[in-house]
Amino acid sequence: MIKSLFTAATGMEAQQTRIAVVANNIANMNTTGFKASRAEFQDLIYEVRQTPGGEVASGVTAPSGLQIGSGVNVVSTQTMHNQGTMEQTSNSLDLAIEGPGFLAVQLPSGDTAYTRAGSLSINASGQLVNQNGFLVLPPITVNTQGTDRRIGIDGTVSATAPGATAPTVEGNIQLWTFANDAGLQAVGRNLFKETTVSGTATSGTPASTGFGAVRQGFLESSNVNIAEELIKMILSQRAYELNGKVISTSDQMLNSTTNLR
Amino acid sequence: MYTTLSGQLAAFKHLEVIANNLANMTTTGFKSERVLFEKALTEEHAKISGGAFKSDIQKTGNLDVNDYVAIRGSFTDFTQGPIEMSGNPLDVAIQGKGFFVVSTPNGERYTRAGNFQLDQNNRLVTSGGHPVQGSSGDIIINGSDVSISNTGDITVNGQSVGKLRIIDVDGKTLRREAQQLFYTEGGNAEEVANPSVQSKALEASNVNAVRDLTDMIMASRVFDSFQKAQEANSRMSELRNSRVGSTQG
Repeated sequence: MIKSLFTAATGMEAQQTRIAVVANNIANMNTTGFKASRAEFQDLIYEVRQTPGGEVASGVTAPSGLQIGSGVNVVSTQTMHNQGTMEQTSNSLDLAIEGPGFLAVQLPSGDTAYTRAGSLSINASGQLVNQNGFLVLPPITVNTQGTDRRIGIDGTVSATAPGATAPTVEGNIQLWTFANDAGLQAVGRNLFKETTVSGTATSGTPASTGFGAVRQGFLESSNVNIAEELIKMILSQRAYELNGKVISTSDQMLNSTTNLR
Repeated sequence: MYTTLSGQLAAFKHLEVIANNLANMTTTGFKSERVLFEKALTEEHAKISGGAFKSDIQKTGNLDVNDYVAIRGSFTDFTQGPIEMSGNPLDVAIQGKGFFVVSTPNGERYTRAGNFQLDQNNRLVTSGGHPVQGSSGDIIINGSDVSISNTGDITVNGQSVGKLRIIDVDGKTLRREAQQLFYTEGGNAEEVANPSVQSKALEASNVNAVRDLTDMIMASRVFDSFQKAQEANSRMSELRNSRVGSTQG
């Protein structure tokens, strides 16, 4: 009896976690380079009250046991690394990655983080930085006087210096891939960090085998599918209510037991 | 007195099973559990059948109050859950019969939950971290362009890396474990000859909320009616105790 109260509580708690994940996805539906997450559910241990095949009366065996589960929990949140849609911008320092790969940036702490959000800008020392001002790795110093800056699909950054007729190459943007993107740890600000589960980062030239191409003048929008998130939200809400009903039913039954005379 | 008690205990157990189903109504690959009831045996009935339960006593179909006297056991409902597209290349759903095979420290286990991931050794694993088995053991995925055909063949960057093992076992021999896993007790696991799988999709829980909700209402009403019977019993004994021995009536 008491068990069904706790079972229903695990159901409510798990749905709450799922709503939290959905809320974060919806909140980030317009965040450049954002990757949606989903909550993975799993059932808990089963209590075998009656062994299947056990004897229930002399000479009669039970055709099936009585297995009572203990509810559900959220085992993990999985980040979905599928491609977001490309949005054209007129900014020459916006870039989207078409295919696998992340840009690497250096955090103030010295650690490296990875991102798909390619809205870059130039800092005071003429280096390419991401939207938070973190240095893009490997560092690329550009000519701030340069015009007609081009970023090729292979990541080559070039610009025409004042007075020059031909563009000069200023650096090459590199991409990093992981064996298991889903194992990356999201650390906020559209950044991910390497973990033991993701595997180590492998760098490569954009548009070479296994790496995506760099598209200048585009941004990768969030890959949140709003219709899917809304459906999840509705389902979670109903599931939450149903589990609440189980609690009130258990409570009613418990109440009448308490008043038994 | 004891009849009403056993009825109430049965209603309790039924509610526990329902609670677990409803808690898992959004768990990928979850299969609901159903309770088997049997009718009360009157003492006479038991005498006729030699003190044992009669074999034809299992009831199917709608429940009524009289069924709530004893629970024979529970069984797992293996009907197909709805297939939902997720777009994730490592998600797989089985259409029709069969189970994925996973290797756990306790031995081989079977599951319908195809929300797979990769671990640090690039092995395909379940959400609980157990390696999914292919026709030649663990499945290693090195590369990002993964596709799974509708027969379970896995290709990575255009190269074949194995085929998902999909087996079929007699559902009656399957026992539950956490993480949507099942193991067999004496059943034969046979490879499914022509499995049908759908990649980038998941099989949702087959819990039927309407059914579980109505069952729950039923369990609670039955509980109440046994409660009333119990109270009536109790009043009767009270009356008997106060009247018996009293010569003045």
